[in-house]
Amino acid sequence: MGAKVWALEAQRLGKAYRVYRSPAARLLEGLTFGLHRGHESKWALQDVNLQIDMGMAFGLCGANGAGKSTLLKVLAGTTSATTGRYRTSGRVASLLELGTGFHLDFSGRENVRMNGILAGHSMRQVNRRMDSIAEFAELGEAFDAPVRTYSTGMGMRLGFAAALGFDPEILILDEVFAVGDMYFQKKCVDRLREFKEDNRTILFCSHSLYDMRQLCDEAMWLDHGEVECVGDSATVTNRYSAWQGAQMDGCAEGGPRPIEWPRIDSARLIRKDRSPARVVQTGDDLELHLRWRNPQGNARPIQLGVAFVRQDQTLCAAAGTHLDGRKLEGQQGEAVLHLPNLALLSGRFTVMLYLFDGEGVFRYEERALEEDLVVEAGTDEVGLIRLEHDWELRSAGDRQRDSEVAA
Amino acid sequence: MFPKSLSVPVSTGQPEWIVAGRPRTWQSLARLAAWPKVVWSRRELLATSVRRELQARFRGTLLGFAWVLLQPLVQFAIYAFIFTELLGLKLGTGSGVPAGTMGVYMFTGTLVWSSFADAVQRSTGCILEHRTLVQKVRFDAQLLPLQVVLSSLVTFGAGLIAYLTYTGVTSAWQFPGVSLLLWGPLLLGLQLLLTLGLGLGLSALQVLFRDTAPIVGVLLTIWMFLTPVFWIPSDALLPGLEEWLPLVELNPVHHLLYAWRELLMSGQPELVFNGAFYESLRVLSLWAFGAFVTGSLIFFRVERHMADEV
Repeated sequence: MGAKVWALEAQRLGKAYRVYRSPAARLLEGLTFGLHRGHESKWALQDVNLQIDMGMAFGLCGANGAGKSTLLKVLAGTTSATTGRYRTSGRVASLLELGTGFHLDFSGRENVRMNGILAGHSMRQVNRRMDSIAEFAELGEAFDAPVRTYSTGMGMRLGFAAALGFDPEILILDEVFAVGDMYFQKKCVDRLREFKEDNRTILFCSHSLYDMRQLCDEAMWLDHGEVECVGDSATVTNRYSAWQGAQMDGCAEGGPRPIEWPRIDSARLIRKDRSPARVVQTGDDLELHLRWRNPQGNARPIQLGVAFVRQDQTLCAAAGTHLDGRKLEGQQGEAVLHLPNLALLSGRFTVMLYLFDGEGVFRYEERALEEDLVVEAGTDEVGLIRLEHDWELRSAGDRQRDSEVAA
Repeated sequence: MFPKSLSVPVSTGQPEWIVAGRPRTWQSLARLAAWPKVVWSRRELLATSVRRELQARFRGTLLGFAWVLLQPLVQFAIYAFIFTELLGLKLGTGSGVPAGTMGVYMFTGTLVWSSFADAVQRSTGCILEHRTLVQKVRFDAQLLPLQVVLSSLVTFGAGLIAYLTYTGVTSAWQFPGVSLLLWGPLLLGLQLLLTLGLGLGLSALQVLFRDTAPIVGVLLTIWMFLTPVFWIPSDALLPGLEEWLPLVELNPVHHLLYAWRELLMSGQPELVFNGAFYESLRVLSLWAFGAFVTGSLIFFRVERHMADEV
């Protein structure tokens, strides 16, 4: 047997963009066949090694300009690498930006057809898949209207349907969960999960660490074009998010105009007896203890939000200080959220924590508790939560007796 | 929902590495040799995009595709009227010289030249024009100039049909002989190679130097007057230019024009045609293959920078 076949494999991959000082410098370099160097190389990506197994979802995280999109573009084959090599096993479809290559004057249908043929499918294959693509995009009549008339959300539907529609084995997505209504986002997530179960491979980048944790098996954190860490998605995203926090401190110390953003120092979910709450029972009494800091707190109070999100991305319950008419004042403090008689029924829940500005609009920080909360119902009750309830039962005879009493 | 595919094919071997860096000479040569394969395997893409390009050009017009034929027909009628009826220009004296010569000469000249110039000018900008595709979709970018050249050949073909219709229906000129059927396809092929070669090279240069397109525009104007589109390279008609006239033999478009005219005008009148048809074909073939090879190699060399530069 030969070596293992990876869905995607890269060795020492690097990408440098050429920056020319002026068109004249470029011309001079061209005319002298490169003897006169008119450009500087800006490395967007350096020495990236990657092995992605089939059936895996792999996420890329990192700050803006860290090289995420460049890596995706190189692997999707739309831009060439400067060093190293890579190989992909199977048909690759990429959705690198919304409305990839759509011609605005042509209808959604014509654009999907063009995309399919561009990807190397025959007209017959394209036509065979057209109905299912139209069905997934759910654009109705608009599918045959010019793309010019589409809203951003509709364009996204079309792009997503077209990328997924031609049965790729490897899907490369660049930050595409950001747009679209909740309904369609959910549909895409479901579809991606199916895709993965079908032993197909997904590679994507996102600023939403939540999406990454939920969808990915493994993740890579890129910083200034280099791999900072790679491993299972929870570890990588947590390390990245910790680094993000530290980064803001760095800004406060070194920057000319310090941005001292509020942040969460620590958070833990415990039982009344102070033992950590990981696996709990419905009806347990829990407390969320959270330490926060807000350097400009005297001038700008902040708000705290807590949300429980089930694994299928259903938001089950949420609480916010702003919703209850409270706020966090001062430069630091501790907040305790009492959760008596937990109503959640069995399931695995991610506990999301948010620091908002005073109006509860802007999110300073968004993070998940390190460990998911696992609830065991301990009863046969089904559903999401247990409603506060009580039964009052009477048989027909009882009612008769009641009316006699009344008479 | 999507029909589930039957199964993901299990790869039996390792896929090929895609290695970074400038393509080696043998790789470029291999790609040159693979042109026919690429064209054949992407024929549906080419057909669709050529149709789309024509559609886009006439989208929203009442007559639609009819314009492809209508434009040259009207043009030919105008030329015939101005040069034959109005100005009464005749080429040569002799009794065998038909009346409409100058109109036909001008029409065939502009038909071939404008197809050539249009293809070169538009293919120069084609990579930039399709920048969204080049940046975001993985496909053979070499098909873009080809698509432009093909679409201009379609309009050229429409012009030919208009010409055949006109000469068939009216007595303006004799209907071309069977030699058109024989040599026409070959000539069309050489024209394609010549324009495609120029288009490939220039479109690649345009990505690197944006000044290419305006320079090409200027050069094409000069080139047009250096090419016997509106004049006849004859010592008798252009006294005083005898020592310069042989230079016209270096111009590939002259040979292209000469060959087309010989076929379309049935070698009449003698003033225009000196029996150099095969010589013209030979010179044109050299230019065409030279341009095609050079253009392709330039294109393959620049290609890996395209997505970053557009």
